[in-house]
Amino acid sequence: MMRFRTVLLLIALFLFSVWSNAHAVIGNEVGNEAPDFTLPNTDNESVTLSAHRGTENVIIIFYRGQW
Amino acid sequence: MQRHYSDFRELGAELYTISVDPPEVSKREIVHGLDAQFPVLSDQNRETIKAYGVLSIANIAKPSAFVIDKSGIIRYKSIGDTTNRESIETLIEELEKLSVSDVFNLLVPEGTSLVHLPYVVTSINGESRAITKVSDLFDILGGETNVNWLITTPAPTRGGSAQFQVFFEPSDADIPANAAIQPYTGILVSLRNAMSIDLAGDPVEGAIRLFPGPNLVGIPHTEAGIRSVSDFARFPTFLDQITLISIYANGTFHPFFPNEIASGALNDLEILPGQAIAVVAKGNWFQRF
Repeated sequence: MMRFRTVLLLIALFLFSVWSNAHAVIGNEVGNEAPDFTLPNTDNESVTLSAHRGTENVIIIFYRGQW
Repeated sequence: MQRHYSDFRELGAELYTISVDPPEVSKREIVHGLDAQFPVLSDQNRETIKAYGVLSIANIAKPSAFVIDKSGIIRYKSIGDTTNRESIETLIEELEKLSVSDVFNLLVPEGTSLVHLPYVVTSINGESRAITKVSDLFDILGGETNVNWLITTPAPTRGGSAQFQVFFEPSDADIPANAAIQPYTGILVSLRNAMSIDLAGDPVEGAIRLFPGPNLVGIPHTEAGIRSVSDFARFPTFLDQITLISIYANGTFHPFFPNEIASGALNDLEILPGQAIAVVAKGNWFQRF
């Protein structure tokens, strides 16, 4: 098992640190990061959108339902 | 919808249908009633429906469709009937646009270099493999026998903040080397031996984001993108926000100042796909390409 070590670079190579959230804006418009969700499927198993990140595109279709 | 589900799967996409119906109602009506094989999700408390802005005045979901790419970005949105033939064809076209794989060669020289990944990588040297985490990239570059050190800003954990970190060794399953690589962020790396890697994948949405202070910036690999330092003259608001740009080429950092870029009086340098730059910024700046 490989040993793991990281060092915070506060004042090193570039004499700086950046404390900022670099995510895209979360929202419902094209170009926004899609709001994540975890919802039950018809077998009551949880499905999470972000589990697909880096692996596949996702289509979400909202519909009125039967009620 | 069932018929189209296999089309979506062939294009490498997952489909989720969402309504306010409880799971048992959806199961009875759709899975058994219509013999559907696609996933049907239940949003009884309407949180997801609200987050996507599609709650109707009747307190149910408006018929609507969203296409979300591999990096989690919404690429297409349509409100209205989503199950007619025309809408489905549009969805398939949008997916096809996302599925065009591009290949490029990432050459990381011996010694120090500034690189980034302009693709959501799905294949490395012809082998199906993803680079999503800092540790993946570390391994691809030859692991600890070849990588002296690697500096980047991994994606912040929930509620945390992004910060530059130095990695000397890959991790197992530990954070933070397990953290996601950010497409907009450059990676400063020092290698013992040069690595040439053929990457294939989907281009990430092009954007440059600056924060006050030093930034490692990946240059978007898009048609309207930036091919040389002089191209930054097209973005005066960018030049207003920076103190200097630095390009690492031929073994040294080359500084460029905003006034010389604006006036065109500079020894222009090419910026290759996969190359990153260091930018010292005065304030925040964001631009899509």
